[in-house]
Amino acid sequence: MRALDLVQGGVAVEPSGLAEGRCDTVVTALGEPCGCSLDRALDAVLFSGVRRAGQLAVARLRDRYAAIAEGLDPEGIATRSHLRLVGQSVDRSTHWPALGLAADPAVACALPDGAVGVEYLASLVCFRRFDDAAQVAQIVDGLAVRWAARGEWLDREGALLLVARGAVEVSVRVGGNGGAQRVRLAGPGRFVGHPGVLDDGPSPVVARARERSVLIELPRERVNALLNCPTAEARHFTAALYEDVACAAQQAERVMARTVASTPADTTGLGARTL
Amino acid sequence: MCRLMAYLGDPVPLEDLLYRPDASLVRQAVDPQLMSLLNLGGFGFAAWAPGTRDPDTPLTYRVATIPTFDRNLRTLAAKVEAAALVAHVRGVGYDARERVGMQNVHPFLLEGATIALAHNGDLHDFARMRADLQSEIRPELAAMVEGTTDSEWIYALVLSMLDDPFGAVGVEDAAAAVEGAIERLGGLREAHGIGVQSPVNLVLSDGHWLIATRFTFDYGWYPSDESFFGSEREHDFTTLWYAPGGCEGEAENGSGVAPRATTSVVVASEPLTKSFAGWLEAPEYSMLLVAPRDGGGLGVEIRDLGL
Repeated sequence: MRALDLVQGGVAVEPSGLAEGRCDTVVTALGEPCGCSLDRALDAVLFSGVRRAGQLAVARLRDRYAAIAEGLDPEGIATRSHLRLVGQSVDRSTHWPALGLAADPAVACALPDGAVGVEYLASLVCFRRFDDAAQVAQIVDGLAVRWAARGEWLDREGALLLVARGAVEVSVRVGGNGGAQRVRLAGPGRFVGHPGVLDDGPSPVVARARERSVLIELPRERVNALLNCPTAEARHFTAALYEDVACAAQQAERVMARTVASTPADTTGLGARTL
Repeated sequence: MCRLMAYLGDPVPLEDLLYRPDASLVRQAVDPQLMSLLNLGGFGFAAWAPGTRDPDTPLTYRVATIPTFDRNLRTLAAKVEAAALVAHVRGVGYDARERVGMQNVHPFLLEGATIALAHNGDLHDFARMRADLQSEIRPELAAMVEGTTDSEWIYALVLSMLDDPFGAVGVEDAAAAVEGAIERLGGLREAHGIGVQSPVNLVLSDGHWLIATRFTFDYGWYPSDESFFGSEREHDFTTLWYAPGGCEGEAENGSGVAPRATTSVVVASEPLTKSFAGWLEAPEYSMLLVAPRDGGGLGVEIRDLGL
């Protein structure tokens, strides 16, 4: 059965070349085609490039957060050392209550029908490149769904949180007096917690629910497994995750731009930094 | 869904604000950059023009048609200079049930009032809370509401929060009124069990100051219907941008540092230029206050609108 015609620039994709599985298509040249073939090994090289770019994006994001914390804190150096303490989770200031998420969403609030159904999740920005809802189901299968009330601090180091409903505010700590600068508002389809999970470093941020929120928790082990998995849905997930990192960096840069613009003389240090 | 803009600063031809930029508000009626819906439900502005008769009373222009083909607007914009402007193109769903008409065109400016207001957003399930909202509004203001939209009622609520809705209003009093109105709307929504995402991006001005909000109730709880808000995912927190303009000035303390003196500010749902350089994105859940400051120039303050 003829599935599709290829035009110039098209790629004849053999499913077994991109993922594990048997070859179940035949490509027939109707003219005199000219091109090159990508075998599975080359595809792996290309995809490792995506992952490398993603890791660079995570490093860049971490750098942005550090620059914001440093630039807004008159004691600069003290902030950097404080951030290290934060990352080790050994020094929770009384200004930063570390409340856990509500244990049982059913008790916290009755969710509307389909609140985290696969069809709904498939409509979110992070899943827009997925082929169908079944692939989304493969990603979220077995993951814990959490509920957070508005204003609740989220304490889930070692796990990524995918916002399914509501919004989470991500802030870097500025100084040791409980000050904070919001660097991101993560709405539906956005992730919280990439620095600390994707690079195994200390988390430079704290998060709290800005709206009542429904969150899907992805433990570090699950994230790593997906990043190393060659299936189509895992690769879509990898691309979506790194795209979200880039989005977070962009949001952080807007904070920096506002800060610089609102400061008459360059007392923030942000303007002088090489960003 | 709509697009809005506001300006405060040195007098400039309206043409420079409404037409000249390559992504101007007039173009946004049919070619917005940050939304998929076209804004075909009408156009309006309130412009404070120095040198005209009674300059504290703005020139208003409201039509229920698309500004793109409006020759009267084009010639007017070339002749009039404004030191303050609130302008709006109205976006409505492509549905015969929508009410397109002069009475629903923004900005709103009740007769005798000094503040004009435009709204970008939509209060979900507004009909359920309308009666209770009306009871919060001064009767003399409620009697003047002509339109059928939530936006005009929000305007009336803001005015109702003022000691004198028809008197001169300072920027702080206006900011308190806006914050009070948003808080009251939140209370009414809660009382009626309305928990669906509802943006309330406002711009308002009396010609001397400018206030803008970027605020959404229950962000992240999309409506489950087929509406624009039900399917918007990319720019789901309704956007707001601003661009302070000015020139390098002398440092007040003689230190040799040249601070930027802001002499004009443009606020818009999306940048008025295809390039976003020079534009700053307003934070979510925030209020921008732009007003003259001691020593000259304009001050721009961003306040968090709280949880």
